[in-house]
Amino acid sequence: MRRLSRRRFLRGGLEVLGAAASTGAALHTARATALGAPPQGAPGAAASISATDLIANDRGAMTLLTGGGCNVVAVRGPEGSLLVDGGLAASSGALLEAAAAATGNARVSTLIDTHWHPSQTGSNERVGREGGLIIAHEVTRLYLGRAALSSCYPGSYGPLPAVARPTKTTRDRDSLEFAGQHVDYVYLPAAHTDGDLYVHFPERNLLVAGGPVLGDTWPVLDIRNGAWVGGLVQAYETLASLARPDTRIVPANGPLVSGAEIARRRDIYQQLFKQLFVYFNKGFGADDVIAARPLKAYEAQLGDPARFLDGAYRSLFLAYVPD
Amino acid sequence: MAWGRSARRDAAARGAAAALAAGLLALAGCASIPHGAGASPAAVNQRGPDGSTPLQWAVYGEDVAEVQRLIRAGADVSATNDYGATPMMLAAMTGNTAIIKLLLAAGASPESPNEEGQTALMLVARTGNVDAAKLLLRHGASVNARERFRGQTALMWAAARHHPQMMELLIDHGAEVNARSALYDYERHVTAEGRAKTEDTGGLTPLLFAARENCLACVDVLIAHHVDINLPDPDGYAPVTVAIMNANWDVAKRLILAGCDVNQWDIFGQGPLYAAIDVGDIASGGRGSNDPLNQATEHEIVHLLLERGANPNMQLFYRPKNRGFAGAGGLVSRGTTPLIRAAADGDVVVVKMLLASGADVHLYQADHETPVMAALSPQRGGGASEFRAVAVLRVLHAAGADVNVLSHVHPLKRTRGGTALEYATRLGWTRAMALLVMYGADVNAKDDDGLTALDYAMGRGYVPFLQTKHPPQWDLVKLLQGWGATVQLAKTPYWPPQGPPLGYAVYSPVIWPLGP
Ligand SMILES: [Zn+2]
Repeated sequence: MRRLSRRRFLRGGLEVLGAAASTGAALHTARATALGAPPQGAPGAAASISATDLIANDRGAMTLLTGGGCNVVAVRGPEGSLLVDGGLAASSGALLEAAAAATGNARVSTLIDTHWHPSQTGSNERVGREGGLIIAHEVTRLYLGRAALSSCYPGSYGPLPAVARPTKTTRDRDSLEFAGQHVDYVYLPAAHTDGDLYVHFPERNLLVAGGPVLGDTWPVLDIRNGAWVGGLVQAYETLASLARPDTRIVPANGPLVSGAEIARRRDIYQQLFKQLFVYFNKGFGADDVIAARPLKAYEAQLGDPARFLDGAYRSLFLAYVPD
Repeated sequence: MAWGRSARRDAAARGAAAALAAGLLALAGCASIPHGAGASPAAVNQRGPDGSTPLQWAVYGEDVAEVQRLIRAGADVSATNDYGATPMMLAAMTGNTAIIKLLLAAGASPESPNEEGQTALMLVARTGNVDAAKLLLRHGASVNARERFRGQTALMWAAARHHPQMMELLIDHGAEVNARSALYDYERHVTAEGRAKTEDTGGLTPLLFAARENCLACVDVLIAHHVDINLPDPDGYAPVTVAIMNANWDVAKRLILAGCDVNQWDIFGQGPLYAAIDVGDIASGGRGSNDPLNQATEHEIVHLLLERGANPNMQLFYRPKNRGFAGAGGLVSRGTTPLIRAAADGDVVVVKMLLASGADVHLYQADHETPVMAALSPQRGGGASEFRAVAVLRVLHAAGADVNVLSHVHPLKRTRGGTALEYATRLGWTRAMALLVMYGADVNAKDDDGLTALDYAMGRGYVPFLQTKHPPQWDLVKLLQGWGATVQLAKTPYWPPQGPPLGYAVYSPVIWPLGP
C-alpha cells in the first residue's frame, strides 16, 4: 500500500512550497500581490543599504551592497559601474544610490543578473532605461519576458518591460573586460533555477556564486523552473574547483563564504545526493526524508534544512520520471 | 495531473463507484420487493440483503407511482443502504425530476451527502438534468459543496461530463469557476525492478476538466464567466496544454484565441508548443493523427501558437512524466526543443514553421542530440520513414545545421550517442548517409565508445536491452569505404548483456549545459 503524505507546509522559508498550486483561490489572490512591484511605484524608501569594501585600500573599487533583497557587488568603472545583481525593485532606488556613492559612478554601465528571480532583477528597468548593458543567461531573458510562476515566491513575476530585459545573453559561458580586469560569467545548469550564472573575478580572487549559495543557510531550489539537486551538487563541484581555500565567495544572501567552506559544502551535498537515492529506493516521501534528518550534523551551523530537503527530494521525482 | 483519457479517475470514477453500488443492489434484491396494498409500515421499510428498502428500489427503477405509494405508506425517505446510498442519491443518479420532487416533499434532504460528502447536486450535475438541479438548488442545495475523496464540486462534475447548460445554472447560483480539486501528494519511488513510478496529483479546476474532456461548449461557458484561463494544475500544466495533450485541438484553439499564455511551461519545462508537436505525432499514428472530433489540427495549433509568440526555443527541463521510455520518451531528455521533437516525427511542415519563427537549429539536448540526430531516430521519436527524414535533413541543412556534432552516452535514455552518420548507419538508411557525407560529415569520427560509422556497419555497436547483435552489413561497409572511411576497431568489443535500467544515482548526464 502506498503512503500518502499531505503536502508539507514548511517553516522558516520565504514562502510556502507549493502554495501557488494548492488552491485556486490562493493563486488567484497571490497574482495580485506579486513580488517585485514596478520600480516606478516604489521609491525604495524602506530599504536600508549597507556598503562594505571588498578590496582593501581601494575604496569603491569593489563594494558589497546588502539590504536590498540580495547581495549586490558594485565595481567602479571608467564610464559607469558594473553591478552583479540588482536587488528587489522596491529597493532599486536606494541600491543604485548606494552603488553610485560607493563607486563614484553616476550610472551603471553593465548589470549582470545571476538569475531571473525578483530579488536579483529589480534594478533591470532603471539600468535599462539609462542605456546600461544587461547580461544574463538566455533562460533569464525568456523568463523575464512573461509572467513566471515559481516555487520560490507566491503568485507570478513579470513580464518586465522590454527595456528591463537582458540585452546580452549566453547559454554557456562568456567573459568581459571591465576596468582592466577579466570577468567570467558562466552557466550553472539546473542549480537554483534553470538560468543561473556565477560571476568570477579571478584577479580579485572573488567569486559571485548567485542563487545556489546562501551564506549561512541551506539554498532554495526553484523546482518549478528546472532546479534539481543534481544540478546543485554539480554547481558546488564547479565552484569548488574554481575557488582556492582563501577565495571569497559572495552568496545570493548572507555573509561571504570561503573557498574552503564551499569545498566542505560540496562534500555535504555529494553525500546527501547519494543518501537521497537510498531514500528514493526505499519509497520514502519528502516528509520521511525530513524526518530522517540526513543533515543533522550541520543543522547547528546552517539551520533547519526541511525546506531545502523537501525541494531537493521532490526534484529527484522530476528528473527520474517513470519508464 | 491527469493528461490521458486512460487516467480519468476523478469525476467519472466516483460516478462509476456509485453505479456499481446500485448495480449490486439491483442484482441482490429483485425478488425481495414487497408488493401489494396491505404492506405494514414495518414491511414498507423492510431491508433486502444489501440493506436496500423497497423505496430505494422503486427510486432506482424510476417507478414514480410506486415511489408515491411507498411514501404514502410510510417509507423512510432518508434510509441508507449498506453502500451508504439514500433514495435521494439514487434519484439524483438518474436525475428523475418527478421522484426528486416527491422525495423533497416527503422531507428528504436536498443535500443527502454520502459518507464522502458527495451530494445529490453533484450526482445530478453529472446527468445534465438542469430541471432536477434547479429543484435541488431551490430547496437549498449547496452549490459549492465538495466531496471529500477528490475535493470536487458539482461544477467540476458537470464540466467533466459535457454539460454546459448545467454549468451555466451552477455558475448563476454562485459556483466557483476557479475551484480546484484536492491535491494528491503521492510519493514517487523506484520499484524493485528499478523503475520510477508516478501518480496523478489531482488539483484540477472546472476548466482543466473541460479542456481534458474536449467540451468546447463548457470552455465557452467558463470563458464567458471570466474563468482564469491560465490557472495551471499543481504540476504547472496550463488548460491549453491539457487540451493539447489530449489532442483536443478545438478547445486548444479556443483558449489560444481567448488570449491564453502561449508560453506557460509545466514543471518539466513543457509548453503548449512542445506539447502540440509531441502529441501531433502524425507520422507515427499518435493521438492526434486520426481525430474525427476536431475541426482544428495539430498544424493549425502550432501555427497559432507561433503566431502569438510561443517561444520555439524553450527547452525541456526533464522528460515529461506522461512520456514513458518507449516511443518518443526514449528520445526526450533535458534540453529537447520543439524543433528536435518535430524532426523526430519527420514532420517537415512543422520543422519549416519552427525555423521560420526563429527556432535555433543549433540547440541540442543535454547529451548533445541535435535535430539532425532526432530526424535519424525514428524508433525513438516516432514513425518517420527515411523518405521523411531525408526531407527534414535537407531543411535542417539549409538552416545551417551542423552534421558533425557528437552526442554522448546517456544512461537514463539508455543511448550510446555518436555522430549523425552513425545514427544513419545504424538504421541502414543509405540515402540519409549519402546526404550527410555530402553535407560534410566526417566519415571517420569516433563516438564515446571509440566506434566509427564503419564499426557500426561491421556490427560492432552496443547491443541495447532486448535487441540482438547485428551481423556485418557489407553494402554499408562498401559505401562508407567509398566515402573514405578507413578507421575501425580490430575486433568487436564485448557488450555485457543488458537488463532494465538500474543505478539511477547519476547526475552529470542529466544536467550537461544545453547547447551549443
Ligand atoms: Zn533566487
